[in-house]
Amino acid sequence: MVDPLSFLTPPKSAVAETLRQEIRAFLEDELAHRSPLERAHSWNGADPQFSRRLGARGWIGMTWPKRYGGAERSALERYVVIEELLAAGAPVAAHWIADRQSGPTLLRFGTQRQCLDILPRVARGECYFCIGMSEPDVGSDLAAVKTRAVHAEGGYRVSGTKLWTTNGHLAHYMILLARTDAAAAERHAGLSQFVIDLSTPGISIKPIYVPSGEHHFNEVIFDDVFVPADTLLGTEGDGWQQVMSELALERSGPERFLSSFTLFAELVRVCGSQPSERAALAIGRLASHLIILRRMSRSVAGIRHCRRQWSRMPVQSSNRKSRRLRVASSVRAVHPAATHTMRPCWPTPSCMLPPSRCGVALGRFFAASSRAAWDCAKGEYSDRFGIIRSG
Amino acid sequence: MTSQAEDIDAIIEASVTRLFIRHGLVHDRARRNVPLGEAGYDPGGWKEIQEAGLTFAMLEERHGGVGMKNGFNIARLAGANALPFPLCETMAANWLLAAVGLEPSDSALTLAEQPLQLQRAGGGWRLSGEACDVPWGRSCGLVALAAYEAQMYLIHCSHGQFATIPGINAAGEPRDLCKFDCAVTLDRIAPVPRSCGPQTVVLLGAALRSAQIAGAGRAVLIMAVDYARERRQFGRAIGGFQAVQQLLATMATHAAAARAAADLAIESAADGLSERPIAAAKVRAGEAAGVIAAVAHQVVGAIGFTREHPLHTLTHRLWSWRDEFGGESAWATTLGRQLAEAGGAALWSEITAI
Repeated sequence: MVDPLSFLTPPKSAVAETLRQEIRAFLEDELAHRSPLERAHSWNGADPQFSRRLGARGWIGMTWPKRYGGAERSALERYVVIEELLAAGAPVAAHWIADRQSGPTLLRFGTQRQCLDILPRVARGECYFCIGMSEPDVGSDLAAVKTRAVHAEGGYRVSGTKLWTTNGHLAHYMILLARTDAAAAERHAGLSQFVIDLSTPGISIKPIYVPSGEHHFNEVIFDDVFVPADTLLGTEGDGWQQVMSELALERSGPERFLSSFTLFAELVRVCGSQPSERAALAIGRLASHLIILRRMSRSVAGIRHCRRQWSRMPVQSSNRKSRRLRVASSVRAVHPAATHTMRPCWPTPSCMLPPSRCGVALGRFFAASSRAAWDCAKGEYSDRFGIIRSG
Repeated sequence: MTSQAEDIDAIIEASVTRLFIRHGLVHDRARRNVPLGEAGYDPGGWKEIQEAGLTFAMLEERHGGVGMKNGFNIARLAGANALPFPLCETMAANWLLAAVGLEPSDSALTLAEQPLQLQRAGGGWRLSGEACDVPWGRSCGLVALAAYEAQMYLIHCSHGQFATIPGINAAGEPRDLCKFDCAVTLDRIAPVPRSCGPQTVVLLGAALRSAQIAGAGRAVLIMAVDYARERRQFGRAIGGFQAVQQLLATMATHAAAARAAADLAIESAADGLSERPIAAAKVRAGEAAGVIAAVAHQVVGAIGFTREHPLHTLTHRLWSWRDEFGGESAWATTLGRQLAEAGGAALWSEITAI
């Protein structure tokens, strides 16, 4: 039984390290004139031309099958590429979501036709995606989606509003989560995903500006938009499992702790080669957090590399499953994901991190129904605490 | 890792855990009330640990051990069970002795963190100086570094060759002041390879404490989770409250990070005792120790603040161990200085090389 708090040693890969030198040379060339302020945008900086040049080198959709435009390279090699891109502050925003989650979601749930039509363009850095999950009334409580997709002749009619749509104004497609069955007994049922072409009539995209004046977010309004039946992604009614699977791809990656890397590098530069003791301490503490987070993240990449835990599997366990499966799936679902959303921060006076969706999920995991997982993990305490040792 | 290697680790973990549950302080309330005694540990329990071969655990298999990595994993389990013996120090000291070609010891050993002073005297050597906060210094043989004319040496002193003034850390573990002024016979001193500097012992110790913190941190988390599931207030288990779940989640993230940090330190220890990974690990493990201990006491409340409850045996160790063999500030400053000297433009290269 795997200890849910331990991370396997990240595998070493000589091929990946050779690739690291290759991408470093590429980026030195590409980003030579990119100022620290521009680099600090990290994966919020969009540059379609850069995305195309990256795609031309085969560095988008790296792990995908070649028949879909991928390079069939390992998750470790992909990891090296994305962490180098992020650390250098490369303008990857345009293709980031498509590469990270939309493409893999299509691979997992899409038809061959959808994959053939879309994935090669994504891999070339020409086709961009945005995420259609959050709504004005739907943030953490994703099951409360109100956007409706009702059956119509030859397809569906979609009405509703999606919010906080990162780069919706640049994207060609959205993977939309909508309610297809309003009468479903249980709130996680009756949801479906669609691959929506954003040039479809009836869709309007309005910008939302952040305090700095930058435009990443959007409001995307669907006004009775007709979408053909072949825009359905996966199985109608399976939207919850599919979206949970998609969300898992958003976790554990290096962007979760490298977004501020340029700032860290600038801090080190500004502090100079003979920093004050306080500055040295601050740098060392930040570095230690970064190093440990990177190790955990690379460990998850190593797991993906071994293709052990991330194949088609429903993330939410149901009561019908056997206890052992429920334990195994809840451990897989929650453990790497939840622990990786922690980001380095200065401790607040009460030493508490701000609440997060995943933090509470992990807490519920520990505190509520996953007794079996804990029984296994703490088998050695069975004598003392009188808990039955699990198989 | 081959599955055979994993099987061996699992077997070691299972059998060592059973032994440590019996001899550790977490499970057996009676043990917690046993006075330290002259040695600072229970001789009967120590005998069983010796008989299990654990004092040589860090040595390579051909020398009777299970390898350095497994040895550190044993240290982690010792931490998880609040094992009240100088086992971790003895394992590390025996590893050092074997590494320089000296005879490993049958009896309990400890370490001096910083190098002592060495002089030539007659045809032999004389060791002098002081070491403070030596774990179980009062009853152990001691392994220390000392430099003489630009060469570093490892010295093995027997119990009785040096004076000790007893002391304790916040967990009540013996931490003694040792004063040296003794002759060193030629069979007790050996030169240390050029690759090992004056930091060798403190690096080894920092890796040990990181492993122990990881073990204790996880044990504390489990205690807090169990309590939250069983304690009922306002008609339900307190673990049903989101606020408590958030506390547990906070602890869990730090426990996971501490484990990752320990693994990093262990790998570095087994592969040349590189300073930067161990520094980073000790900083992170130390921070995790503080958060885990504080939050656990919040969750377990009043009962967790009694002598009778086992929580303090672990939280006090977390608070103590984070300061031993270099605290967070010391290691963070060391790491930070090195990275600052390399410069901002080189930061990413430096980080990926660690």
